[in-house]
Amino acid sequence: MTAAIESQGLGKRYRKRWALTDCTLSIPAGHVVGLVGPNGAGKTTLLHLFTGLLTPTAGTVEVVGGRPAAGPGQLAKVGFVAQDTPTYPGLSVADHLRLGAHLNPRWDRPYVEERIRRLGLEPARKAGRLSGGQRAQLALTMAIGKRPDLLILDEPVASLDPVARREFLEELADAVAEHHMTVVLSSHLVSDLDAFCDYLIVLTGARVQAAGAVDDLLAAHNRLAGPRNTLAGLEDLVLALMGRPSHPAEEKQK
Amino acid sequence: MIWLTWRQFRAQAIVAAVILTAFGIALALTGSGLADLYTSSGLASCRIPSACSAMTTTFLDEMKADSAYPLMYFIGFGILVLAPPLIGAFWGAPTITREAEGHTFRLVWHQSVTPTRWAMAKLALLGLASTAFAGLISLMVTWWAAPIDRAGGFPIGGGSQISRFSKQIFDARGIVPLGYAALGFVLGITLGVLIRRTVPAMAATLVVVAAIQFVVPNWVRPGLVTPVTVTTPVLSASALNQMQVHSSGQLTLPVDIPGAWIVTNRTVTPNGHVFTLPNVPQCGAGTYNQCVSWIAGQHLRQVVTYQPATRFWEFQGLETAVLLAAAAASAAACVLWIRRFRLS
Repeated sequence: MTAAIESQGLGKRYRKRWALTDCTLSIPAGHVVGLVGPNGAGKTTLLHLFTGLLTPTAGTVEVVGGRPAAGPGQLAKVGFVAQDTPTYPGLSVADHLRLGAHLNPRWDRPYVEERIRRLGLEPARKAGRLSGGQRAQLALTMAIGKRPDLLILDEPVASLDPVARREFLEELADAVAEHHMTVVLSSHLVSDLDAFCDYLIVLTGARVQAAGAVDDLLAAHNRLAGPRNTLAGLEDLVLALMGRPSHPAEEKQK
Repeated sequence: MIWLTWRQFRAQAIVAAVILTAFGIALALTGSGLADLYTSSGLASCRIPSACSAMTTTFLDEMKADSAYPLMYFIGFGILVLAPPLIGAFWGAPTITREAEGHTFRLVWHQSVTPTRWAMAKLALLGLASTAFAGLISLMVTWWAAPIDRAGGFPIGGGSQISRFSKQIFDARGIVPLGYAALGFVLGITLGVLIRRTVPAMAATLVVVAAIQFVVPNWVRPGLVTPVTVTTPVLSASALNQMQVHSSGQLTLPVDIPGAWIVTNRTVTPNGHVFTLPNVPQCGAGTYNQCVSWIAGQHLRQVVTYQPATRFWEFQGLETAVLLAAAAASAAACVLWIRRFRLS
């Protein structure tokens, strides 16, 4: 299986502060990857490095076989929904779809139009007058509509109420099942990712604490912790992984 | 990119079209009357310079007495002078800062278009729109004001006129406005990229473009072509009768070189220094005539450096080229910056 994301010693420094250090990852294609960690852990920095919005201070990163945002062809392969799902407030929903159709060679118009209809988004409505959930759905539709191999979502549900949050994630799960893409999605709420992600990256204090398939991480933890401390859910696992200091030896096992 | 750029610019384009149309109609309505006035004054067919000056006076007096012509003359000048900073501040700067503030660059840069191409499309298409707008206004104003310019320029009292070659009016005629509009727009974009916040970027653009509009006529334009220098014979008492004494003690005599841009006009002593009137009794306590005859005894000459009227289009071309080169350099720097640093 080819890697969707490969990074070697990846780091990013803002002036004197390292927002991310020594991040080495190899994420196989086809996973739904949850990136979790407390606020300020460096999740957005890592995702921006994946998208090419930031250039690394140290190390290298490759996504779907190329340098992030290296050219139009590379950009076409990666879909991105930024934090707070930015859209053009003065442009209508239809304008956004036209924008996507004009700028993306692989634009899937039937899918996009069907999805917008199903979501009940009025094409003539200005994006500035949509609710937060609707804007997130519009941004997600655009990101999926360009038919990326890799879809990166930065806290897509952070600004949504619980109902909209669940709807959004269900929509996303359907889309992922339908079109075979790798999805990386960050959240500071693990409950968002439960039953949705099959791969996990735990980031605290600018460092990757753990990365691997959820089942493997659970099994590894339970083997070490013994039968009395067996964990069942993702939430417990993440808390356990965040709570302990980094164990480089253990990461090498994976 | 063309469609998106147009879609985001549509509102501004409509405003620009309304201004162009309204101003065009106003100029068309008054322009034919002004041309008729010029023809009826006889100036159009005047070939004998001595006879023309009376006709010129008649034409200019009638023009100035009208309620509309002086107003239109200065509105046209005002629009062309205000256009470059306003284009930079309202079309240039927000193009970038709005994307930075709304984080929409993160949306648009993840369509299959690189930031470099995105920036080049904005620069090229909106830059063209800016120059086209200023070019059309300048074309209309230059056409409208042609009779006044041919008569030597707008009279500002005391027998002086502001010709199309004068420091102020030059930038509101011909092709130079295109250069200023292009530079103003590109500087707006560039400052937007550097500052990334709308209001500070707009303010900075206004200041920088206005500074360029001040610097170019005063320091750049005079150096583009070496001026012609004329030195009069030693000034006689009769020549000195037209002198004006300034508070600094320097004295100047009027220059009459039709349509020329007078760069310097100095009265110098026999050893070439600028003459300043010393405190002599002839001019302190004596009569005016005593003073004049004392000055006449100082063997003064008038030295004028000027650009002849025939160089008007040469200067237009050179200054436009300088401005467009500066715009191109700024645009290239802007694209390289986005390519290297993005907007974060």
